[in-house]
Amino acid sequence: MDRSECSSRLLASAMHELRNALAVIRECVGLASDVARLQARGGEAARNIPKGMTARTVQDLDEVQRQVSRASEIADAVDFLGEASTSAGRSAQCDLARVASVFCVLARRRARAFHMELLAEASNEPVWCARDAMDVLLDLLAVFDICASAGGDVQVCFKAQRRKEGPGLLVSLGAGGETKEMVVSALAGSGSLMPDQGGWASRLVPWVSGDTKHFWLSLGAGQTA
Amino acid sequence: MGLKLLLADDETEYVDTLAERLELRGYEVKVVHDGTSALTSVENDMPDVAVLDLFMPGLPGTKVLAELNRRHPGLPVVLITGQTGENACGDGPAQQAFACLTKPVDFSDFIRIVSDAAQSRAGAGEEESSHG
Repeated sequence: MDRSECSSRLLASAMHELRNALAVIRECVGLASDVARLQARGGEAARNIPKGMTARTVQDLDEVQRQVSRASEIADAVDFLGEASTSAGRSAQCDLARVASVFCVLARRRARAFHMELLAEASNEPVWCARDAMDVLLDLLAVFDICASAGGDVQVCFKAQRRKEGPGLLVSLGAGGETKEMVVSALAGSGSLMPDQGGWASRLVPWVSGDTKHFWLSLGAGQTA
Repeated sequence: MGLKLLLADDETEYVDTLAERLELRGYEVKVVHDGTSALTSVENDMPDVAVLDLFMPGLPGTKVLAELNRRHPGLPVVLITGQTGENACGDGPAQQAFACLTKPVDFSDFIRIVSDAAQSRAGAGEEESSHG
């Protein structure tokens, strides 16, 4: 997978998610409009409005607000992806916390197809890494693919951190289904599978020896060129 | 009672609200949120039209469609997807559906297509009867 394919896949997932948000908005507004029309018509039409429907329309308007926030978050993430794609190969550094957060938004829809939930733990301050944001997105998508190909059905949390050997991402597996052990095995055996980009070799290793829930995605060390 | 519809989509807020709008218009609607439940629902209570999200977790809409075509070849299936591009409705199993719609779907278009799908089934049934 190259940067272009990574970008295309994340964009497709984000647009799918955006269309779902728009679909919810359209139906919520449509239902509120349906009820308002029946009420305006009065008489039997108004009396036939199912009980609780007026309260439901208030909930729907709240839902519209939530979906607008969802769509706005996707738009921000797509903006980031566009900027990262444009500056790929020329950017000197990125904030890993921000990249992980954007990745989770972009890949959310794709994750749902595999019963996966992606989370990015907030960081109090930026975790700078001397890597191109697009390459980090590529690494995160590679981690995602490993989990999905092993069956998915697991919660994956990313947390940007700085260890003494450099910055990276703590990849933690949360609640999962029957395939969780297969995901663990796949991640444990994937260290050498991570792509080598521009002289940087990303490596995925257990956080501590014997730990099956936490992995360290090393991004700031291991320069190969 | 109007047409009997099965709606299968994992986007719960979307499909639940769509169902309420349809019920206001007299449709009888059954909602499920995954492909396996869609197959079970059809076996238990045959709808006039099945509306499936193309990309549901677990058993995706295309596989549900293939299975429904095998078990109940006369049941019209309408696919809905949030995905765009060539891989959405363009080719493959999605071609076996009566129609494939892209979200956000215009409600009046949805009603029209579902009605057409139901009529296609009724028409096919009459044709079978006249030949039988």
